[in-house]
Amino acid sequence: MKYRHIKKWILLAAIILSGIVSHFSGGINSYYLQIIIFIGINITLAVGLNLINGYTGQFSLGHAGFMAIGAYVAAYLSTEHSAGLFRALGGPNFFSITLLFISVLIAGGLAAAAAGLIVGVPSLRLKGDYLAIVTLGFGEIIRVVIQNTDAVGGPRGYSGIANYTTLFWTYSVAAITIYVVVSLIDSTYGRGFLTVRDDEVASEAVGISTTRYKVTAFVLGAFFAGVAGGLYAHSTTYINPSGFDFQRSIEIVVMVILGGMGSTAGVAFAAILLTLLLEYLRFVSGYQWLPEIIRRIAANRVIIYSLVLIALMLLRPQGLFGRLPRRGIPIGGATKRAKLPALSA
Amino acid sequence: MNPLTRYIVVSFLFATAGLLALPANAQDIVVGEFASLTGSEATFGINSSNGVELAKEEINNAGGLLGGRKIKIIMEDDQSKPGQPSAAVKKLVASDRAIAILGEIASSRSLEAAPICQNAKIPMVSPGSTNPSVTEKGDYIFRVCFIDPFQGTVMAKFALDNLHKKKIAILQDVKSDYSKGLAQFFKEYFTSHGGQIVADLSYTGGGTDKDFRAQLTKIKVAQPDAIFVPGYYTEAGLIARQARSLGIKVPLLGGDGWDSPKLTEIGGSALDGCYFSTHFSVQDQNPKVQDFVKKYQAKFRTLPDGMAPLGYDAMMILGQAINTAGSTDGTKIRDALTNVKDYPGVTGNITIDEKRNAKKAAVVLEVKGSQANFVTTVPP
Amino acid sequence: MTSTEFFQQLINGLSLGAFYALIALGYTMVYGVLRFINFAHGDVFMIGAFCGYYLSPRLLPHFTGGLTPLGPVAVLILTMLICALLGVTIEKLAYRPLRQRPKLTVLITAIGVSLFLEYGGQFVFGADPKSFPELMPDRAIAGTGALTITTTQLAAFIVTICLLVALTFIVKRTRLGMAMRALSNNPTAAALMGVNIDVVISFTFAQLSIDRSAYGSSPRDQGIRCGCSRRHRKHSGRRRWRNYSRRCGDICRWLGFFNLSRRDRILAFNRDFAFPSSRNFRTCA
Repeated sequence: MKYRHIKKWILLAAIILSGIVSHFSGGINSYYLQIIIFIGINITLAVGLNLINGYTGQFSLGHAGFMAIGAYVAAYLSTEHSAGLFRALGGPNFFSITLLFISVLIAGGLAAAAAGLIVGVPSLRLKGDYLAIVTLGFGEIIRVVIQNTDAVGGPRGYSGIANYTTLFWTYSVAAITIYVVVSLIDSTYGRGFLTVRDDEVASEAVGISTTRYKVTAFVLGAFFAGVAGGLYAHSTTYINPSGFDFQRSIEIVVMVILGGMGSTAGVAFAAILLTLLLEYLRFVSGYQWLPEIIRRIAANRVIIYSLVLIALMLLRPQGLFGRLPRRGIPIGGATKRAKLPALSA
Repeated sequence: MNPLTRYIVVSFLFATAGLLALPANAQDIVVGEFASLTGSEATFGINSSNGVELAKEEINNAGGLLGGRKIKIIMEDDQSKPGQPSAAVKKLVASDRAIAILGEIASSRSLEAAPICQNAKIPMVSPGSTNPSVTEKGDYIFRVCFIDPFQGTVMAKFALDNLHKKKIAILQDVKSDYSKGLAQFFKEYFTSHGGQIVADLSYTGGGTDKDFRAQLTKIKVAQPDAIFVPGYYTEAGLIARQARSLGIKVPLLGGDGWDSPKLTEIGGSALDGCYFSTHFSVQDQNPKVQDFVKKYQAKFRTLPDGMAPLGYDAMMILGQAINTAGSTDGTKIRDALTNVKDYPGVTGNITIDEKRNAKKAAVVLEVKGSQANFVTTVPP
Repeated sequence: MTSTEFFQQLINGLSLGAFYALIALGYTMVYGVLRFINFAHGDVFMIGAFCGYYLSPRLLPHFTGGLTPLGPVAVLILTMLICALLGVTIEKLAYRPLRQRPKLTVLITAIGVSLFLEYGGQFVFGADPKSFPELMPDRAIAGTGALTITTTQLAAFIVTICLLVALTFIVKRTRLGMAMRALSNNPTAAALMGVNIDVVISFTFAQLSIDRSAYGSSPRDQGIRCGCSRRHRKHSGRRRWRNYSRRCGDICRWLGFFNLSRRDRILAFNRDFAFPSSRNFRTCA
């Protein structure tokens, strides 16, 4: 029980800390600030996806689709429907903006969760790469639908979104996401996710509703992706459907894999590392003392990115923090907390 | 995680932190440029940045700006991906301390960068974003090209008045805001001036669709006098070939997205007798244009397409504005840019209007063999 | 819709469908045998197109006079060989070391390979679209009345039909095919058919070159659009699974599979067919 309290205090401390840092962030170079915010958003996305891909063992390739739903719903609500709220609360002041932002973030998250439910219930009966293909297709459907929706700009994108996202919001959401995922996996209920991953047949045999667990993981993951999408939209103030394509999904998946499937700390770390790495390559391509060819390769960042991905899979497929799945974890072992890999989180 | 990995990771993070803080040379005038050097629209970014590069060299060889200060371009690649311009432009503005930003060709990516430049009070000059909403993002956002409503209207006018076509079919790219914009303004002008749109069909561009026979078969049944294809040259060439093979003989009309030496390479003789509007013509005997073409060919060993002279003009106009402003202050440069009148650019005489758009003529070219021959100029 | 339009659209659909079927053939071969989605499929396809682009101007001038029709054939064959070589290399460097690992690992590697080929291709060949040289005159066939059928459409259709028949024959009637079918029951099995897959990919390319499309940098979309046609077999338990794979191994041995394959394949075969680990079972089943 003590352990749980520690987690709550850590969550509270993280939120307060991000509030304090955010308050004094005015002097930070806006580029660094943007990168730091991107890192926070990526942590939320990756930790959310880790619940699906890492803990529950379902491979989803459509996370960018959920993010897009969250981003568009939040952006649309805060841009088109904020006038009434502001009128009721006496203009855009601190209180009304906070209320508006929280509600649009949650609305975005709920919309994404609803989409997760709609797509999850029929498709989670599929396994492995079939599921991957279904989620991939779903992500593309969302993108194409948005592309053809003129109310949110269609292919031109949606601009004029207010810049509400601060360090505080980003890192509070990231902290809450980590807290929820870690607490969930540590709970008795949450052990079910791990059993679904480790052995579906055995889970069914001991009375665990695997479909229910899968859908829960999917809906929760989608919710966090939706909230992250809302943060993203209010950070860049412009969103475009092609920014939520297949490649964006892959980026999130790579974070999960690099960090180690089923390790929240690892995944969060990988989100930081990858976001920094990709930005770092911008600088490498500008170093005049490097040979032309290296600078050109560095400028073409996806080449490096893909090489990292291949090398990682060949040399350390379990990721930086992950462990190789063990053989035959006893089903009864789920109650023995200390022996399960999830505790690395 | 083993100790070695941890060591590598930690040292890497420190290295990142250290290198992020590298200062820029104070003497140079730093101009930031963001363009799509890689990704699906790399060809536009590469060509426009070639133009910028040429202009920069010319300015520096002529002694630089503000009494001998050289221009330094810091280039950021946005990989043709949304989400990238935001980080790239913030880096240029906040870290590199760029005094002005050049970019992008694609309107969607210019739209992403515009609010950042506007907030930082750094003027941004787009070489080729033709969507009207780009410069509406603020009074620091400029462009040196004409806008979609103008271009769509130009082609509609040309079809009605010069070609005397009354029935037009439209085949637009649903993935591109540019194509949709052109189609929309074309349609508005054309139908309100007595024309008739007999078919309005679409495809998905950007390398996705390669077979347009289904749409073209429908167009054939509608029997138009001409087909308006406001897309990019990659698709336009293929559409022309497939239209001819289906027995459609009417001319195709297009916009500046067609403007590339590759157009006829892809389309071959199928494009003979087709027309498109663009910013400039390689054949234009204006010495300014010929001079540009010669220099461009000498440096990059290829003919410039439509984007290269726009990049060149954007850089030149910006250079002139910096000199007029007499300082590198963003607000002063903006004021100087607002007052640009009849600047003799490669792409015509450029006047920046009150909406910060370039007011200039469009040219209409006719494809013949491997060349695009000058037909007429349509004034603004 | 007039009847002319209907039949014209039918012809359009058939020729385009034939084209997609060619790509899907390659996909389904990999998927059917290896049970993993080869994301790099479309990118090998792209490399093939570029090979044709660079080879044609160098090879075609050597074929003059009566040999002229052989020029395109030579280009196609050489391209197929290069693609096959590329396929084998990818398989050897990226997929083979992962055969014992969970299937997801291979899937992710395939995504990595795909991105690498795509952006590496952009790096080497440039990002601007190239126009493909005409290997075969593209003109409408006479005597079809109001309908238009072009030579390339016809060629696409014939090539696809021939390949479909050939492939069906290989899979259903030959010992190699039987071995492949047996193998497809075991997702951890060796990537035995690497070369064949790539030949199919190259055939796909052949179709592409005939169609003389100008290719940009990213044909990946096309690859993804084609679905996989084989249905997954249901395995309800670990024991049954092991029985399956053992039986497959027996069938293969019985078929004299060893005579068909080469040294390393034999090794891989022995290794993979021994016992699928529970780890693999968990991620795959």
